[in-house]
Amino acid sequence: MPGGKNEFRARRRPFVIAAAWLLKVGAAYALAAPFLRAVQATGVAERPGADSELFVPGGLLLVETLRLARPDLILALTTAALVAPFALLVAELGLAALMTAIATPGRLVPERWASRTLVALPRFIGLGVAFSLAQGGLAFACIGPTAGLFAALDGVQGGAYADAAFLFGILVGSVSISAVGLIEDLARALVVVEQGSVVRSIGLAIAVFRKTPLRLAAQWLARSALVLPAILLAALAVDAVDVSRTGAWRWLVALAIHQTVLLLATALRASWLARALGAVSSYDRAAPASR
Amino acid sequence: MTAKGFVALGLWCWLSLPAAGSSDRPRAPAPPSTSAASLPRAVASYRIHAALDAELHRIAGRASIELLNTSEKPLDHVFLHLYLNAFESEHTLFMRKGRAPRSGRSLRRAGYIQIERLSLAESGGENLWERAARHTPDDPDDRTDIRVPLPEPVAPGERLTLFARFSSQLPELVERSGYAGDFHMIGQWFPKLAKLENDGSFAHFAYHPLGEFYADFGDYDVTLRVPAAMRVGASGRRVSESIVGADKEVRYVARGVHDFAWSAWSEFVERRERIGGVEVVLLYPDGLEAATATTLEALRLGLPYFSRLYGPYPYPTLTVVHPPVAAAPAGGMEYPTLITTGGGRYQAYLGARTLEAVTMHELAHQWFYGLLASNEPRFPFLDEGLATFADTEAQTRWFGDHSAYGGPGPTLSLWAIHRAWAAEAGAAGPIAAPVSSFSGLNAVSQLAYSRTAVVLETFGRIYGQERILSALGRYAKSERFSHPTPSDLLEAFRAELGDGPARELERALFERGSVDYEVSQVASAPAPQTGRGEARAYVGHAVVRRRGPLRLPVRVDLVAEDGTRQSFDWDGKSDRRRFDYRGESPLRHALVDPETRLLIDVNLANNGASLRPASTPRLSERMLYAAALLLSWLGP
Repeated sequence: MPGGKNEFRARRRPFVIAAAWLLKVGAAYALAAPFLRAVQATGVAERPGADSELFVPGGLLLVETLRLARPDLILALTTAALVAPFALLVAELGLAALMTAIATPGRLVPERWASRTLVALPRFIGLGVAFSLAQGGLAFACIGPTAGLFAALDGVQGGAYADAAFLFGILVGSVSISAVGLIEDLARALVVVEQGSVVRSIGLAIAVFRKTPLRLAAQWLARSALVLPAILLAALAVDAVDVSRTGAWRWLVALAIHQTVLLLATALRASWLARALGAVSSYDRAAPASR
Repeated sequence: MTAKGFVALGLWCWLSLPAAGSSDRPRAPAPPSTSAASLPRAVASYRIHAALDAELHRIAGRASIELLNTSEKPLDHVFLHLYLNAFESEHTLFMRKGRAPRSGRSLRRAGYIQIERLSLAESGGENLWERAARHTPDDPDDRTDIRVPLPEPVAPGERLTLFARFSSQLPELVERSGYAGDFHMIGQWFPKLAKLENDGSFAHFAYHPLGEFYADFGDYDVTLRVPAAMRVGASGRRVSESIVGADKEVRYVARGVHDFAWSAWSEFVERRERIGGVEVVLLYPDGLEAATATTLEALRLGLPYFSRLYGPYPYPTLTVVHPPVAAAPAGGMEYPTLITTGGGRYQAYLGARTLEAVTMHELAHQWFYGLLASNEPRFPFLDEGLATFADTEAQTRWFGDHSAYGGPGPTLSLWAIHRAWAAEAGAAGPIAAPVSSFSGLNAVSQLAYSRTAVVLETFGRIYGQERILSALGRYAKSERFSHPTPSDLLEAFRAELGDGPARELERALFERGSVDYEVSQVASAPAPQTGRGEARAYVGHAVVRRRGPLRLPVRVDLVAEDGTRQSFDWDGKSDRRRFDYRGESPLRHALVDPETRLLIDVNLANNGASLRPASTPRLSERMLYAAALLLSWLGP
């Protein structure tokens, strides 16, 4: 079965998945740090309850802290905007390393792994830029007509048609943006497998997608769809842990829950990427696309 | 029969009489289900026949307006509010910035009211409108406040009856009143007398976007003709409905009120329920069943609750209109026995309590506006601030700490929002100020709405919630129908809390009163040992400063390294005070107001100081997670 062998490799690379997760956490920390400092500067740690008081139900001190920190938070936004390219680069590096590792047969030799990752990285960045522009354009193209349709239909049948138009717009936007994201992953896989150019990888990725769009979409959705309930369940679990109450174990449990979600998301992504690698490596360039 | 009984009988007879010369004589109103003795004396009463042209969005109206001169002086003129003229151009007081302040909408299709004839006799007689002023005093661009001289003075105790033929062109909905497609929300639509004061003057004003209500109580008998397919909701009680050709005619009687508003739409769904003897009519767009259930739930709680706290709701009906999305700026308004609510179709599912909050707020206005009828343009806080306190207090009692948001993630209370919003304005201006002195919608909502509520909540947390509710109840009950002023409110608080707290309340409302408690110093050291074998002890102190003129009592906690606390009560009368510590563990933190009773405190972050600040692992953990999720979503 195409991809099955590569998925098996993904499962056999837990340390690589963990490394990708750590890289993402590191990049996230770089993004979060300016905001964290802005909030800490309000003197929240001066209270006996310290930051646990920010999580007291009702959010009185949380809202007050955010209000007081607002000028610093705006500055932090500027800093974060400067840090963001670096954070994205680190995340892209993690992804390139992960995909290279999954695509490497047998034992992973660090030097070879690093060299293949560094070769793939510039093309990953090129793909990232191209597909981000495409996704942004799609979002823009969906929002305008949806808003227009919503306004035109609002008031007809109590707004039911406007609702339908809104949901339809969201659906079309989500599906098309996700499809573009899926094609981007296929293009990344092609970069790793064939080490082709960005343009050639995009062209081939579209062809691979056109060949079995439903199967690829199902494989992608089966993994991506699990992340959302995991996030919601984590939110409920952390609510139950209630970090506003005393006990350091509470925030440690919250940390464990949240990081488990992030690790799970990375593992699910690795599983999908293994499928993508399998799909591109088994693609028969002579066969016509399915209808 | 008591004197009130005679007044009630007189009103009954007056209302039963058809308008002189009327071709379609209204039937006598059905007997009121609410005791007339609980309603006010009719000072300004209206009998109106109005026909809505739903395609042109125009109302053709005839009104007989009866005014009882309750003042000490003869009247040689009256003032009429022609509110709808606020929407005739972008130069009126309401629209001067080109956009309505609340909705942000600009004028697309103008609205206005034209008086075609105004006389003392229904037919014939001098047309007083020809002698009326052309515009609002001192404002040539505004025609919402018009002086009309009278040919003969009206002596104190005598009645004046004006007959008006008018035409009201509704604007495309900018804010509050107008049409959106087939939907019509019709408020401030007829020629309305300004409030007659005891000294013989009229409290008249141009239609200001931040405050519009002040009128005498009276009885309204209004017959509305609309296309037969339309469903109508209106102030008061529907007493008859009949089909007349392609139209239908509905007649409403509202007694003891000071305004009349209505709504007509062919797509309204209607739901009725009796709550504590009040017939509640809900009109809403199809598809909003869940939102309507939420609204109804709020009313089931609010009607009996507010009746218990602030005196019984005296009217037989309450109509709630939920406008369609296209007419959202008509939502969140109050009229006597009719309120409009709002909110999208999905909010009921998302954990946000906006629908409940809007419904509760407008319902609270039935007391703090409807039954008290204070001068909103002069003292908006008496309407908006007290209604905000009442709705937030009720909503907090209902939902606790998730009164604003109760979905997944951190919960949010309405008090957190009001406190932050009020703190943004700080003491930039007094709360008890006229609408004209506020710079805009934000300023009035921060000071008159949120800060009033936060001040009362602060007093409740300090002196006892029940005492504050009792004081507000005393004010609402004793001043019912009597157009109270801020001094009446202060008097009620003085009677309940005493002179000191009432004086502080006066400072908070009138004198930009604010307070900021701050821990300015904390120190700790080992205590000098006086003898052998004595247990190790530590001494320390904290200095707390009070800034701002408000002197409110507060608690100060000194917290040791081992977590033990020593609490001190401070009356807050001096500018600063030192609190000494002695214990077995070193002093670590000082904290003012540990229970956050002083919601009005300018800065809550400086209430604590520590010799060894703690780390913030929870905050770091949560922000890291949020950033990682964001990166996963937007990144590769």
